[in-house]
Amino acid sequence: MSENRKSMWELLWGILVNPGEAFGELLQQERPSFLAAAFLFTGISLVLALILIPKTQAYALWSLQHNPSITPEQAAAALTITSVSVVVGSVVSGLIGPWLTWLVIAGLLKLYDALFGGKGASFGSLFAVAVYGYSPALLGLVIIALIRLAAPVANYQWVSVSLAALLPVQKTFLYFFLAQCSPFTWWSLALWGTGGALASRNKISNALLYLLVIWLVFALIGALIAVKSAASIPG
Amino acid sequence: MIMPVQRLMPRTPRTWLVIAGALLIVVIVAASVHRALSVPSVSVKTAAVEQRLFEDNALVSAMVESAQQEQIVAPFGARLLRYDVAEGDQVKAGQVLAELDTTDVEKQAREAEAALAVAVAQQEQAHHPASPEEVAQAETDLTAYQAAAGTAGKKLERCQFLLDQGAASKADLEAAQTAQARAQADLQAAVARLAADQNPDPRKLAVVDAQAAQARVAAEDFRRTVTDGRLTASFDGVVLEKIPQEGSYLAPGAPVLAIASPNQLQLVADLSEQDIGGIAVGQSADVQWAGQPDKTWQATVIRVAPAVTKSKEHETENVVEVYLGFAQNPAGLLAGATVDATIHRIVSHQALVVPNEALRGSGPTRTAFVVTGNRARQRTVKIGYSNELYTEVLSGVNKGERVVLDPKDLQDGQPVKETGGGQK
Repeated sequence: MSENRKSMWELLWGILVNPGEAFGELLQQERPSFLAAAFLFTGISLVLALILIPKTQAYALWSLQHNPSITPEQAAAALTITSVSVVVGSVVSGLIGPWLTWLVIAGLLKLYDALFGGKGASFGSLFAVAVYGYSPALLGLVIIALIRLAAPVANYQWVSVSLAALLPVQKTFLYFFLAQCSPFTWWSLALWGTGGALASRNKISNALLYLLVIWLVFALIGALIAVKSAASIPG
Repeated sequence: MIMPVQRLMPRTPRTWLVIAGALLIVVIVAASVHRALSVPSVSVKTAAVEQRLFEDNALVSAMVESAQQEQIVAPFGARLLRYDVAEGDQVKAGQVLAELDTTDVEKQAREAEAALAVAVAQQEQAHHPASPEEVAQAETDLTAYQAAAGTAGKKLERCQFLLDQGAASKADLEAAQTAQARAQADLQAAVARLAADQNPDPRKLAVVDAQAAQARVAAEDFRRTVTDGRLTASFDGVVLEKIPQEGSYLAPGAPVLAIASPNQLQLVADLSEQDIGGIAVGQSADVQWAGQPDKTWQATVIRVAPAVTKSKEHETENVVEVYLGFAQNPAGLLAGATVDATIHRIVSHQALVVPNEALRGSGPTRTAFVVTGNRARQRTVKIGYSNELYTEVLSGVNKGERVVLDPKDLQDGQPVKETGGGQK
């Protein structure tokens, strides 16, 4: 088996174009390897965060200056701490964010395996599924980063590769819900559901439904929180 | 070998799903790029251009006072003998209002009159030339003194001769010398007197003339001072106030009485530095007095003080005094009353107005931004009057259009989102 083992790049390509077969090959490994892909994705995530730091800092300052509830004196006082916070936050989220996502997804798939008659898939194989299935979501993040680099600062907040991009910017529940409806997220969900079902030797449709329901709950709660806090977002 | 397209791309549901997904991604990314790169819309507050009643008033408290007012003072230091009028009395020009004790001044006047009489007599004497009889007498006296001088001279020669011969004493010689000197002096005096009688000295005449003029001025001053002790009104008016009590000793310049003309009233208002802006001569005002609450008098700003002064009532407050006059005598209004005056900086009229914060720039031509189709369009507007809230617009915007408030960094054509309006 090990002689026919596909490289990371072949696996990544296979998962994007023929996920069933690619995940099948990945899960056939006794201990599915994911570290190379994980470090690659983490590296990309970190680079994106670093190149976006100046833009993010500019947006943070713009937000302070345009926030009606903050006085100019308060905004001036917050300038330094905001700049530092942006740098630290970007680096930390670039490094930790993907790993946290994979951990949550692997945990959810493990829960699915335990609750819905799975065949005892190992956490390691489910983590490998989470890592490889993250590639569409990362692609979405790359596109968002590129658009943000090119966009004016005032539009930074509203850059999104979701259905919300088809609507004018507004602070409604519908808008914020559609902002969660990213085809890249759905793509990753589909990959995670496929890989999770294969690892658990369960029906793919059930796993997809399970993840979709969880995502829907998450999206609704996220939209609700966004509406509540929208008043403080300038612009 | 050309394979049929249907063999290359079988139309399975999965294929359709992939195609739809790919299309969705393309559309969403394209829409996102388009929206992100477009000029960002700015949230703005707007207000409508309105046709409304436009005015600007300054509400002030004012004091009624006579435009012709006089404070009569003591012309010299003296005791106040008596008042001849009471407060509120109508008086005529020239009427005696009060009298000062002039006993001392009258005595000084009499002394001055006497001194004048002496000076005038001396002047008369100096100026009138001697009569022919007096000249003849002086000539006769001169002849007699000449003879006496000749006799005294001969007697001295004789005494000298006798002394040389030892027939006379030295004392006799000295007596002859003394007699001869006296005769010479008398002769010279007679010569001088005759010369004075014939030609008076002009320098002496100038001195006696000056002395006489001085005495005359002094006498006139004292006479006038005696008259000034009777304090009189310089115009027809009303006695407003009697200041010191009868019998008081008054220093020169001490106020005694205040009189005012009741037919020439004016208002004096103290305006703060914040309120003085826009007040100008010629503006009309409505005046109301609590004494006659149903009545309103019309007044006009006649003068604005050219300097900021301390308020008479509150010394810590800086004010500018504004005077208002009445075209006609304000019947019923009393001097000294406190009234409420509404000065019309801008007389009430219908005008097209915008909030002040909708305008950018200064001067008679300014810039406003009108929201048209979710975009801010820059307009040049001509303005008229302004008050604290609104500015009258003469041209550049139309009634009902919405103007952006505080258009600080707005660009012409910039997309905007209206987030509400300014409340007035």
